Amino acid sequence: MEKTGKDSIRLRIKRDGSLSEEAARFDEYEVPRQEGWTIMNALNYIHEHLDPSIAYYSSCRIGKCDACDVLIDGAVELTCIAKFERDVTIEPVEGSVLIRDLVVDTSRPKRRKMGKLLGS
Amino acid sequence: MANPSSSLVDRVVETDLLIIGSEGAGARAAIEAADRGITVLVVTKGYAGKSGATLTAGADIDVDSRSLVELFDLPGDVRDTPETFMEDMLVEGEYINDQRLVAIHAEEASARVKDLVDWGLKVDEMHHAPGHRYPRGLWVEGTEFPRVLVAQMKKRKIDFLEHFMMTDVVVSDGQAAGVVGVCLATGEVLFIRANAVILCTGGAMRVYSLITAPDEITGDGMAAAYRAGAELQDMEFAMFLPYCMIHPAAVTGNYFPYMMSYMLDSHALNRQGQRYMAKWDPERMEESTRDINCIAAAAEVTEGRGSPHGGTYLSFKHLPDNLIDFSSKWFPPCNADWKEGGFDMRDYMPDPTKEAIETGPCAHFWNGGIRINERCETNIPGLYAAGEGTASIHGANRISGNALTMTQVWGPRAGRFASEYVSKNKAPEPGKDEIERLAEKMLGPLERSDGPTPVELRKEIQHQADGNVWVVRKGELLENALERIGPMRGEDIPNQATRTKERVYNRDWMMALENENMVDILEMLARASLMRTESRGSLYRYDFPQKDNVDWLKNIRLRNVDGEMTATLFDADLAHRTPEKEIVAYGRKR
Repeated sequence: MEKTGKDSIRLRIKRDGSLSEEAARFDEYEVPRQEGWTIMNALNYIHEHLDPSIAYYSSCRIGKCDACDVLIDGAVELTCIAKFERDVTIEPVEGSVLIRDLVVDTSRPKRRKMGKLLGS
Repeated sequence: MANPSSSLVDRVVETDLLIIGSEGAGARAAIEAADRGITVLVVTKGYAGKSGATLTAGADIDVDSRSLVELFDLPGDVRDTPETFMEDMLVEGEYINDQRLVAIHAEEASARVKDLVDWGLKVDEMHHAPGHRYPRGLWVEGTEFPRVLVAQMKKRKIDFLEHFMMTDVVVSDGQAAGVVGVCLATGEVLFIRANAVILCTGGAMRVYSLITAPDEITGDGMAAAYRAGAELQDMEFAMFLPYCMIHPAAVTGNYFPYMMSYMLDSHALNRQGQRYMAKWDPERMEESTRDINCIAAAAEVTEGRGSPHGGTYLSFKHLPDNLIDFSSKWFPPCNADWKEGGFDMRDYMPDPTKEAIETGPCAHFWNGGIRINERCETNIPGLYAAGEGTASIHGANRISGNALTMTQVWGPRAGRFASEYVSKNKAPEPGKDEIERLAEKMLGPLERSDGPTPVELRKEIQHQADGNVWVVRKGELLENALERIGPMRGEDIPNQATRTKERVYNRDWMMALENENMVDILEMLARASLMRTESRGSLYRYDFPQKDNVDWLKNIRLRNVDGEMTATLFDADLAHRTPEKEIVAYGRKR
């Protein structure tokens, strides 16, 4: 990844929407720009250094388990393979009951319209 | 139901048979039990079908070569037999495998894999991996397993509980009576009461910082079994995979370069450009088995001849550019076009026509684990275990392709024998005090405001594993690790404090609970490595570099006796084959 522009990247992350849509907020985090990082590496950095309360899922780290999917600027992407190279807004995927922050309960479909990116 | 017997437990769930782990082994155990009419509950720390090590394989699954011809219509070799397959497992496991279990494994592999193919598992071509005298590897994309097995579980309406982290096995009157743990999705403390429990939780690779395995592989089942009084065996044989990415962060542990070395002629080089495998296996060189490739690389690093990021170089530059380019077309589908999982490796790896790739051994598999017999029984009645994290079909080193086969042979066996057990036995109601004690321990990190943070402690565990219990080991370093593990267990673990007190999906809390397991595992790994004063399979001791078949055809069994870890030596099971009783250089297998 080419090192260009500013030294940090801003992640706007949707938080606590599990309580209600009204209670949801966006928190912003500045993470030092690193070469060869993915969004997952940045989330780990946030959890370790900036905000221990952030909830997100990680497992295989190679784009196989498909379970760390989120919306990055509105598009479904896996955090473990999404490149960490620009300011982004991250939200949980739609269509399932939210557990907390970016973690959803895929075994419980949400009874409302599905996100446009989930095939409907 | 609400729980009247404990103030700390939020909910009690009841089932006949409880299976911890939902993937390769756990799913197969559940299917087998459901087919026998047993009420089963499957719990997993992650998402069912979207977690665990099974799906991460893009790998071979072993079946004797004759069966490849007869059952799968592939160009295998009809001269092969289950007995020959068994012999190769013993040679590669260097004769400390449990031979009775190996014989069952080799015999049942083909039928169990056939079940999968009958259920719709897609397999590609056949492969011949090092260590096998005949081609035995059916190539499978790991994600095929959850696709097929979850469908089979749904068809049988098997109940699941996702995001449940088991912390301890509950033993009542000497029998397994269920588990306690936390439902990460709700933050509730659960007691799951069961008449039998099968642990299918995999290895403990996460004790190391560089791993091919998923993040959640923290030895939960092995450590809980240990604390409950089960015997563990062969814990010194953590298995590493050679030629994995060690840089940059996005792809650490990614094994695409290993796949390249498996498919193409490769040169493993130290910083002086020497092909160091010549010192270890001059005949097979880089085509040697994985244990020897790892130990050779780690020795180069330890002796100061490594690469900038602490690995060695894997080079393909001796091959013509157009040959390397063409390889991207004929690699198995999961690795074609420079793909590994969701990565385009060209984004993170130097161009192999121009540069060598920096690679290193990454923790990949756990050869040892909970000691089981032919019926998957542990020494605790009602406690069963299957798949990775059990000992000891692999002995000192697992032969390529046998990880997936292991889940498919032993998962169903555990399901079958545990089903027979629960139809005859009821677990006694556990004492209130025991459940209360375990729940209190679980909630401790949330309640304390001061203490080591789970993140700090996780780093310290990995620092010890990487520094003192790495691929090549020395007595002095192992003693250093044990000196630090004592206070970690005694002071740090019981005093961990999460930095946030939220109960629902609290990563700090999950890490704190996992850390307790990881410290138990690290101690078993270090203690058994120190006790084994020889080198064999995936264990290399600098201070004892020879393989000793005179005194060391033995297994080390570890057990928790009143809070103390005790290690005892037992003669290896030589029921079918006995090797020469001699002392030879490390690496000589046949």
